[in-house]
This record gives sequence, structure tokens and C-alpha cells, in this order.
Amino acid sequence: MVKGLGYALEAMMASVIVFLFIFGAVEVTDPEQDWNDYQRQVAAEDLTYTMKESGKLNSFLKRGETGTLQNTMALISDRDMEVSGAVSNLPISQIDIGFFTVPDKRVDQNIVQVGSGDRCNGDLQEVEEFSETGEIYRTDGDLEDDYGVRLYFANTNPTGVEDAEASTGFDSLWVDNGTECQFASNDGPHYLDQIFYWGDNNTEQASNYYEFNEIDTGGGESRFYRGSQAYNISKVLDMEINGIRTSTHVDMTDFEEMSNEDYSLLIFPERDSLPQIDSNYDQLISHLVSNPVLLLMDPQEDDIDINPLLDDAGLSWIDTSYQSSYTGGEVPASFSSERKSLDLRTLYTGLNASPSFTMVAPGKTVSNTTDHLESSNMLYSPSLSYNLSDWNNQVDSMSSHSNPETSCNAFEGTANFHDYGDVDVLNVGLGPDCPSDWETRGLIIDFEGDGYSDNELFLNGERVIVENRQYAIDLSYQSGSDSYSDDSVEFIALGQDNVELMPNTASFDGFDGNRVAMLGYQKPYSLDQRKLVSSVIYWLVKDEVRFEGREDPDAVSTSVLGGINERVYMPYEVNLRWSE
Amino acid sequence: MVRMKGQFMLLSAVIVGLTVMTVGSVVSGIQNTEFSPEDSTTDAVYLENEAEKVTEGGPPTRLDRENFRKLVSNTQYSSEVDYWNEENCFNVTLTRPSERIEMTCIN
Repeated sequence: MVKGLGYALEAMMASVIVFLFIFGAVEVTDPEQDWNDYQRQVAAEDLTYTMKESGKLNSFLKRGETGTLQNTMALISDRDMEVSGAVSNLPISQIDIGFFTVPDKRVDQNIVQVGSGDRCNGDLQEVEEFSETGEIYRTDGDLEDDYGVRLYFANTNPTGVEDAEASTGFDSLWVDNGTECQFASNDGPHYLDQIFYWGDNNTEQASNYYEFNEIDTGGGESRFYRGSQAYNISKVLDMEINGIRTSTHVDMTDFEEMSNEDYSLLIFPERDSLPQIDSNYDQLISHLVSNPVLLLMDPQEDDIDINPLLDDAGLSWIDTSYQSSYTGGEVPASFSSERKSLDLRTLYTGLNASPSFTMVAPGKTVSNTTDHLESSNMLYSPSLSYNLSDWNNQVDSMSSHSNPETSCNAFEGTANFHDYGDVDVLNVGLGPDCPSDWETRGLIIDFEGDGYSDNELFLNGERVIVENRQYAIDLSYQSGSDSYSDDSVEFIALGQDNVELMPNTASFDGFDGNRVAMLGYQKPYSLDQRKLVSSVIYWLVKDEVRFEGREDPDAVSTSVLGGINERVYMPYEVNLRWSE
Repeated sequence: MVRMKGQFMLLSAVIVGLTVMTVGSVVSGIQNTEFSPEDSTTDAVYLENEAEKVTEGGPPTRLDRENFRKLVSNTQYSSEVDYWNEENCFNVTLTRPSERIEMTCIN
């Protein structure tokens, strides 16, 4: 009896242990909690959909206001749900552009303190009202005569911050453009790093913009960076693109300033930038690792090999003539059906630019993105082509050659490939009957100079790449006569031959970098050309904007597929992650 | 006899335990699969609304049609988009291994 009770207790204990094990191993979740997760997911989907379909989401995105999107989501969700997320494919990120100033566009001007005897001494109330110290300086340099204007400088401490740098430096200038000590509101104050118009009614409006770069009252010098091109482009960047308000800032810069600034994009104008890039290449790479570069220039053939950036970017030079008598300047430009070309065209159209426009070619520079040299057609000229036939190579009157591999006749000759040199080729008959017909012949090319026996046999129409150029083998070539003969062959150079107007790449030799694009340089660019340059800027800068909430987002996430349909349909994607 | 009875009870407890584990895992599976709103529903609704937006002003330009195609490609599906010129609408097919969504003539 006692023994049986013992076994029964043993069995009960075993059952309890097994059940404890089961409940420990199986995660039995709280049904109410799961239902809440489901409700939160549904609520997040509903809020997202409502925001999209009410048009609010588009309104916020067109103003670049991701913060307003976050606040509104939190406001309309009665549970204070908060969102973090990312917006893709819209140009709404803050873009800080460093526009490189080539050395000969950096201008120093002497300055002197305004004192007795100056024409405006005692008559500079507008400047004195801003001045903290009462001291006023003016230019005393040659540009004053060229532009018919005089610049006045004061220490205004525009930020109001009481630190040594802000309160002791001269930071503001006024432009006296012939008004004899009278200043309108647009004459100043212009602060350090701002671009201002330096001229009067007699100077050309579009080409006299300078950035106030530096002033040293102790040394009696001031420095200005010529920024007309940058200013004119920045005015287009200030425009809405497809109804979207963008946020861009253009700063004239040099490599010294670049070391202190974090630019979203660097622009290098003119070929004179290349030696500067060469001298500061490590610094440029540190930017290029995560941010893009835009080159506005017409390089020459030697630049491609000498300049490390152009070389590492894999850009190449098409050293052949044009099919027309083109000698430079603007040519009709066109986009292609490539996806990235469509993306660029979308941005260009969004700026209300003319679909028919011209652009200057950046020399004969090409992207060279295939295994053989050819131009890309992301942006190209439909009416101007490279004359690739310059590279064609005809071999005729070949010598009879005995070939143990075939009983048919064989002819040997020497082909001369562009940039490669002489190569022996063997035109051999094929088939048991050896018909005199180009369709039954083959070609062996002896690249190594070690005979024909170990080399590949090419048939008519097959392609061969020699020194980075692709050729089609034409065994039907007729050397100056109407009748076909077995002793000739022609190598026909192949490739996209339209002149490329925007070489670009995201692949670099030796490092992982962002994107580089090149456009031809023109001074000044037309309005449509500036719109193209602006489109390229938006295209180059990564088009994803992230925004973070205060809380770490949890598992609830939603996404929106939408588009802004104004001048062009511009699709976007918004991914949201929710927290509570 | 008593010893066998104890072993029988122990065996019963093990069987009951395994049954509870099986039921528990099935319930967990149901919770994970059934209580998650389907992405496809929202994607399809968004695409229908965007198709309407692209076509509402008349036949879209080739660029707009290509941009709508780009939008569709942003879903988690393999996609096929055809523009039907006569009806000014899009035929969109979304597929992934376990799912196929056909949207005929959306505008």
C-alpha cells in the first residue's frame, strides 16, 4: 500500500515536472498584447493612408517638411505614435555645395580706413548704424575703378554672439555703386561668405558676382572669390522643381576651406581646377568616398591620363575625328531611355526647362563603362557623332600561305590596329570543298607572334577587342573592286558613336566612391543649360532623406508609394517606422 | 501492478505534455500569420491611386509612363507594367513566389 502510494507520488511529481518544462519551453504570448500589436499596425496603416490620400503627405514633401509629417502623425494618433523614416527619390535634402574657385578667380584688394579727406567721410550713416566699433574701411584697389564702385566694410557682429571672433572681426560690406555714399537695402550689408553684385549700371549684370571671402584690416587687405557662374546656377537652384521647394546653399571654396566644411557636393569649374585636384587628391578622395563631384570643364587628351581623378574614374578620350566639321561649342542635346537618363530628364523637366536644348561637349571625354572604348548615351548629342571609321583597318592583297590545318587556300597579311600596332592575320578557307565564298572562310589573329596554330578561329561577323576597342570582322570586304576575293579582310570599329555630353561614373580604381559627372564648360551658361547643371546636381546628390523620432522605432512599419504630378510625374517612396 | 500504473501515469503525462506543446506552437503560428495586415493590399491601393493620378489629365507622356513603371518597381514584387493606349490605363501584374496580383486597366 505504502509502496503503491510512493509510485503514485513519483508519477505525479514526474507529471508536474513535465508540465513545468512544457510551459517553460512554449512561449505563450498574451493574446491581448498581440491584439494590440495588430491594432497598432492597422492604425499605422490607416494613418499613413489617410495622410497620403488627403494630400497632406504631398504638401509636406513638396515643402521638404519631414518634421511636420512627424508632428502631424503624432498629433492625429490619439496614442502619441511617433514615426521615423526615409523619403526616397525626391530632391528634398539639404544640399550644401562647395563651388571651387580656381586661383586666378581669387582677387585681393587693398583696403584703407575711412578718414578725413575721404569723399564719404561723415556721410556713411547707413554703415555706421550697423557698426559696433565705429571704424569703417573702404577698398583702395584696381577693381574699384573697373567696376565703378567702392566697397565699405564694418564690424557689425551680425549674429550678436559675444565671442572674440564674432565681435572683433570685420564681417560686413556695403556696395557704393556710384550713388555717392547712399545705400539701398540691396547694397548691404553683405556678410562674409555671401555673394554680392559688384558693379554699377555700366558693368555686365550676369558676370560680376563675388563672394566676400576674407578681410584683414591690420594687413590692409581683403579677398574676394569671383562667383558669377556659381551665383547664376544658385538662382536656378532656388527655383521650385516640379512644385518642390528645395534647400540648397552655394559656397565659394578652396581646399583649405574644404578641410573645415562638410559639403554635400563639390563643383570644380574650368580645366584650371585639375592641377589643384592633383595637388590635393587625398583630400578630394575623402570627400568622394561619400559625396559626389561635378566637373564643369573641357579637358584635353593628356589630362585624362595625368589627372588622378579622371584616371581613377576610368574616363577615357575618343581620339578620333567627328563625322562633321565640328570644332567645339554648343550642340543639340538629348536624353536616352536608360533609367538614370530618365531620372535626370525628370529633374530637368521638373525645372520647366525646354525639351529642346543645346550643350557643350566636354572635349572627347567618354564614360568608358563597357569593356571596350565607347561613349555612353545618358546625355548625348543626336546630331554629332565620332567618326569611328577612323579606326577601321583593311588588309588586302594578302600573301598566299601554306596551312597544314586545312586543305583550302590561306592568305596571310598584316593588320594595323589603332594604338596597338601590327598583327599578323591569316584568312583561311573552310569546308571539304573549299568554295570561294566569304561565308566559308575564317580568320586567325596571331596576337602573340607565335604562329596561328594555337589561336582562335573567327568567322565572318564575329567581334574582337583589341586595345580596348571592339571590331567586327568582315571577310566579305572587297578591296576596291566589285568582285570578291579571298585575300582580304576588314576590321570595322564598333561602338556607340554619338558624342557624349555628360561622362559619369560611380566606379573608381582603388577606392569605393560616390559619383562623378562632367559637363562641358561654358561662360555664361544659358538658362536651360543652368537648369541642366542644376538637374545634374540634384541627380548626383543622394536622393534619400532620413528623419529620426525621439523614440527607438519598434516592429510596426508602413510604406507609401506615391508621386508628385505637376510638370512631370515624379514617383517617391516613404518608409515609416512607428514607436509609441 | 502498482509500478505499472505509475509508469502508465508518467507516460500519460508525457503524451499530454507533447500535445500541449504542439497546440501551443500551432497557436503561435496562427498569431504570427493571421494577425499581420497584408502589404499587398496597401501596395495595390497606392498603385491604383497613382495610376489615376498619372492618367487623369489624358494620356501620360512617355516619361510619366516610365516613372510610373519605376514606382511599381519599388514594391517588393516582380512587376510587369503595360500601358493600354486605347483605354488610357495601366495593366499591372505583381508577383512573388507565393502571390500574384493582377490589376487590369487601372486608371
